[in-house]
Amino acid sequence: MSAEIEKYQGNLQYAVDIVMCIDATGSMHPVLDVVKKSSLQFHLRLAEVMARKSKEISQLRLKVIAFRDFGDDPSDAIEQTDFLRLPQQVAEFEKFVRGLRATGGGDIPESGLEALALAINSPWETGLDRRRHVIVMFTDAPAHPLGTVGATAQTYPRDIPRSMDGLFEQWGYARSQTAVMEQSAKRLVLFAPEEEPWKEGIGEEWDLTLHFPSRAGEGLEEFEMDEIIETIANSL
Amino acid sequence: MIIPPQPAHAPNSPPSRPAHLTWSATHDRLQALTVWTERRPGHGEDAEPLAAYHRPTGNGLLAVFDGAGGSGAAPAWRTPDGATHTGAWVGARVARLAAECWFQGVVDAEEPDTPERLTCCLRAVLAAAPRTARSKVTGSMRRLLPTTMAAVRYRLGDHGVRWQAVWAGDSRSYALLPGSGLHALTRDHTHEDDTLAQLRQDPPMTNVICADRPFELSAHQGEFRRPCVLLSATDGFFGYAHTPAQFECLLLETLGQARTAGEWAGLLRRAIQPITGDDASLSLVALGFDDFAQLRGAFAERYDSVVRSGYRDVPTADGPDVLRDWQDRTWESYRPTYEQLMPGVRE
Repeated sequence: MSAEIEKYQGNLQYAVDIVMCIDATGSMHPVLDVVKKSSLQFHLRLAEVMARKSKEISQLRLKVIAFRDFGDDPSDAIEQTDFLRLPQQVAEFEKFVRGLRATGGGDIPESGLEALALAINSPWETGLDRRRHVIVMFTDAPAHPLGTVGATAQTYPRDIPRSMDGLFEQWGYARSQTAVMEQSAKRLVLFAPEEEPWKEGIGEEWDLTLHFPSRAGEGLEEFEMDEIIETIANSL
Repeated sequence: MIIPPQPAHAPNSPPSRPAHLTWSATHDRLQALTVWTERRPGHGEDAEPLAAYHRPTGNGLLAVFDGAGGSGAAPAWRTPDGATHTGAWVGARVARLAAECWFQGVVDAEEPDTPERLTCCLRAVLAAAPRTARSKVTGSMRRLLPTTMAAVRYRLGDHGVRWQAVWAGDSRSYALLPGSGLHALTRDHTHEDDTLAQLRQDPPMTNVICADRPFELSAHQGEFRRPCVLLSATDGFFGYAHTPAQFECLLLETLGQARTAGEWAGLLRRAIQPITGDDASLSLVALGFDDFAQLRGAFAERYDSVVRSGYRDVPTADGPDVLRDWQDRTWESYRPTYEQLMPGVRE
């Protein structure tokens, strides 16, 4: 590219943060391997599609939050990593994901909203210019209302909202004053059943959200994954 | 003259490199051109730009359409030969057809030239559009046949040019004036109102034309009593620069090198294709200039002024702070003129 032309080319670099929320309860046993595979590949596919749009990922960080049920066993209801910088910490990321076991959880619902609240309140990148903050939820179950089941347990997250309305305020909307996520950057992808709160409470009501109705993404075709990745990678 | 540019390649023989199309025409004291490029051959989500002019009445229309590849990534139409196109691809082309029908009605049947009438046309044509492929993906980000539109409807009279910009989304229309340079005539439908911040953040749109949800067209009008250039462009043209001023630099630099409207179109295409990360389209008309030489000469002084202002001088020193400071500084000096004709912020 000539210098004369190059001088007009602006910033095409993005800082991408991805938080994977993974349901690790016993009912996930048949699909957890597929979820792990999707989790391990998600950032690679996103990078590939962004590259096709000449959008370069200048910084990539991943965080995983595995959840079960505070009503069943508060001691293992949440397991999570910090943000891991890739490619430097890819081994740590892969070790955590591969080590997840589908166990416990008792009956449905599960503690998916607590995991989502933790994800929303993650320490997102605030520097650099163009950012994408993506939360991906994999679950096969509805979720307990926030602040109800297991909320008195020592391990229950202290700094998350105690209601769905409070969580919505933290997710935010255009010109919101209470959002903890950045409106330009945020995206939420749900691989979750057509049950609440995923279907209408979040999937249709919250902005910048995609929902693939399924048991944690079971039955997801390649072209549908492509469609989801394209949606995140493209400007909206 | 209604100009439906021909496809850059035959439907059954996809090109092996990114496709592009330029077109130009001259009539009396009117010079028009369009530029269209696509990143993925055969899958460009910008429709071919529209440049129409009705000689008997002096009415004209410029318009561009950028299918929203994010919210419209779902497959929407399978062609008879098996190729699948996204909702964004279909939406942009359907909206173009609706705008063309609307303009035809205005000049042939004296139908109302209001944005409300155009909205009705868009809704009707989108509702009738083919949908041969379905997606299981749902959610608030998803839209059916989503597209932006930036259009300028103008009328050339004895005393000047009356114009009305009509738009949805983040494609833009501008006036390029000999004395004062580039002026935005539209304001993007995003939650971010600062044009430099929009460049930095790539914010989501809050309003696009689509087939499954309410949308609205904004409108803004005015009059120029002296020769002017009007243009509409998709963000592939202005969204990959360091600063808003650089789009004007690109326009004036290529204008200064061209000898005809056709050459200007070709130079714009060759300048934008290597730097844009997106499909890019532009529709432009110069009104009131005797010929191309007069048009080029009218902007020579403005180009010198732009060069003297340092808008082209991207800092070469390392570090994001250096670039950021330069962006802030040049935007501060460029902004008042750029926003002079811009509509106010929506409540």
